[in-house]
Amino acid sequence: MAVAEGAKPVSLEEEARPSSPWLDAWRLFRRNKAAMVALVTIITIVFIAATAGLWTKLGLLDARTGAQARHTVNPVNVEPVDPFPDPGTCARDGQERNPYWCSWLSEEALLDVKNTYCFRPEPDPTQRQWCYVLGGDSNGKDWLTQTVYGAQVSLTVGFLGATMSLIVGLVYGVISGFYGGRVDMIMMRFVDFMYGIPYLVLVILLQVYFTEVARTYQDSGRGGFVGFVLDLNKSMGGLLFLFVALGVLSWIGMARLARGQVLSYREKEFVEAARAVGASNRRIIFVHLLPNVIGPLIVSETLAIPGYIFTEAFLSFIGLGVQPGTPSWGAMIQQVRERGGFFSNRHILLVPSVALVITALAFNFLGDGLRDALDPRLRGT
Amino acid sequence: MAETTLEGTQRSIPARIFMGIVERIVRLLGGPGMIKFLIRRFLAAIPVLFAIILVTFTLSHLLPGGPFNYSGENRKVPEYLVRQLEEKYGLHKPVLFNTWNDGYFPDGDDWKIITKRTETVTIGGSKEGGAQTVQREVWRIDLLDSQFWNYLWGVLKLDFGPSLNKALRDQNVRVSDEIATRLPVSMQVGIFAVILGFMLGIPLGVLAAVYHNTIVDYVAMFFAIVGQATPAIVLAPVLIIIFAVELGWVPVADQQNQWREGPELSLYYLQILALPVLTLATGMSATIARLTRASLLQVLHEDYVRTARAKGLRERVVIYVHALKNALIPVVTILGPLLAAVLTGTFVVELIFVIPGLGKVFVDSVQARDYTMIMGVSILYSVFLIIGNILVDIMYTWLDPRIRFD
Repeated sequence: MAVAEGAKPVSLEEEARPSSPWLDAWRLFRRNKAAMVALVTIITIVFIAATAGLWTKLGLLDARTGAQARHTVNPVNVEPVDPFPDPGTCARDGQERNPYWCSWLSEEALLDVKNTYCFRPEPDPTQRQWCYVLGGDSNGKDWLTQTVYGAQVSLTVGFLGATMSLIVGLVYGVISGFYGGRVDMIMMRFVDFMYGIPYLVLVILLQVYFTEVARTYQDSGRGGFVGFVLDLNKSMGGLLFLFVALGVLSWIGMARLARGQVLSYREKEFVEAARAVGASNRRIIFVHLLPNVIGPLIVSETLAIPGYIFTEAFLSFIGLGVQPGTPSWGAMIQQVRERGGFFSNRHILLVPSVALVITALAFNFLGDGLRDALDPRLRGT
Repeated sequence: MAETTLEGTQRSIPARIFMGIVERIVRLLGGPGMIKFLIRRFLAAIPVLFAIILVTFTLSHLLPGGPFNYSGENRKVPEYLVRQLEEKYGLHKPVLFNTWNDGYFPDGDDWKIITKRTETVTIGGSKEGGAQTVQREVWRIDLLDSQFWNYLWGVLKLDFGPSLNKALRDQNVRVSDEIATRLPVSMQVGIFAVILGFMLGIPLGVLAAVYHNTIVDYVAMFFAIVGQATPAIVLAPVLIIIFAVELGWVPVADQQNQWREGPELSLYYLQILALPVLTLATGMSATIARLTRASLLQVLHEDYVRTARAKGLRERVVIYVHALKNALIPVVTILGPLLAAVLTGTFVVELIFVIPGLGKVFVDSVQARDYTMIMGVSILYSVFLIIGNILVDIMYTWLDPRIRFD
């Protein structure tokens, strides 16, 4: 009795807090430091990518396309911008470039190196100074800008790919698992068939098809649905077709997982009880099965996001991803490889690589944290 | 029963030896039930393979442009030349079905469902003997006299047709020859990568599981997660910069045509092998390590492990003999897709390390509309994937005799 008395205040406090499975999961998740760091990292990357247009307007980033980039359009009598500007190099439109560190030097030191390094022409107040914080590529385009806009592409592909595959796989798997019998058999035979198709082969074929169609009809001004889709794809920088190509096969694993989950819960007592009191199929699926099934699916989709990002990077790397001119991390690495970046100007290889790795790391840690929180039985595995 | 044994004794010695070998093979594969299962799996693979061929064939022919005038080529090929080439390679026929509407009739004006036709075949034509023409009667089904069914008929005879790519077409290269020269190159890298991946991944996973929640576990898992988060397009350039450019231990790419000459035990071969294999093996071993750790941790909580400990076995024996064997089942699951991915996943590695393997051929053939080559490589990949998945099922029964497929 005394023990129970002593334990009571604690349990009261515990019960005083509102509790739901999702809130419990969030409490567990918050305790996981690595996962929290990953979450903050992802939110930061998403925020920067989402507000890239704002940074551009403020002048912190370069304009989006090369044609509009201020420092690549040179007045007639000025020599062209040097390819591969080093990190920290600054430029004033149409004028000589000064290394960034020149502004840190004292007056005497400046006099010493003035003629060789820090020639400083009269500043033109109408033109803004431009600094390549992370260097630039072979056309003198700002690398930081490309990285930020590349994050837009990568994150969109990651999130949308995961969402699409989650929804399609969930619907397919739940139907197949819940109704069972012949429906299940036919649906799973189809999944088995799709499982035998080599993923990259199909994705590459579809991407070549889409890019060719887009190129063929680029200027013909087609109307109707085809024209609308082509225009939409063009305005998205080729992302629409990339989603279609990625989405054709990506839901297969998710459907199998969802079906397995539904099968394991379908015969549990709580479903039987619900059926006994006369709950409809719809109610059983949405109220009783879905909340149980969706946890592992979300975890597995979070862990799959780096895969989508890598696939996009790889496709852009071989020139089958986004449209040329749209910044993408894979395309950036390809550009480095093409221009001999393995031997010189390595900083420009480092930037997109680090961005890719950090993003993938963050999603991996986030997925692990989510799994620990949503399915405590698997903690630490 | 007695009859069969009597027959068995009356058989001649070679027959008995043969039966013994067959029996041994059956037992090795897991008994007659397993054989039945395997036959069923292979039969089930046939419609899958057919559907894959159909889908890939349709898709590749949907690509705008053809092998003789694809838009990637700047040079404009004259129209009549394209027609001639198409006729030569049979691309003037309808793609899927030759219906009465299509207007392609092999001889003259009649379209028939099934008919007998005389075909003129030229035989010979070498220096020794002059060419002679032979007339022979063949059955033809006009509906199926299309590109797809002709190709399928060729595939059934293991004839994958000539390559339509300009450079290869001029040298009369068959698709099967091209694959035969390039597949071993890809496989050299792939097989070594799989071996290295397992040799690194399994010990790492076991270490992490045995020293669960210690510094060893954290370090191992940190490396595993980093390895998983580093794609080949990042890792390969980084490795090149460190080991090839800066340290100069290995060449950036093969300069002695070693890849095509095949494996040979020399320092140079190991040097050009090192970076591609390392690139592929890193991601693989990271995945394997995490899987091994997770499943070993689960197995270590099972009753039979407690029993093994209780009867006083050493910890080493418990882990490596009793627990690990069962823990490896989920790890083996990924071996099938992995073996197939070793071929498909080497696209990047082959591109960056300039390895003359299959990966680049596939991308190039899609760009060049080399229909036969696209089909050949796709079929190869699918067959690898199917065989890989069947292999996994066989290995299940080896690792866990409780699993039965009958």
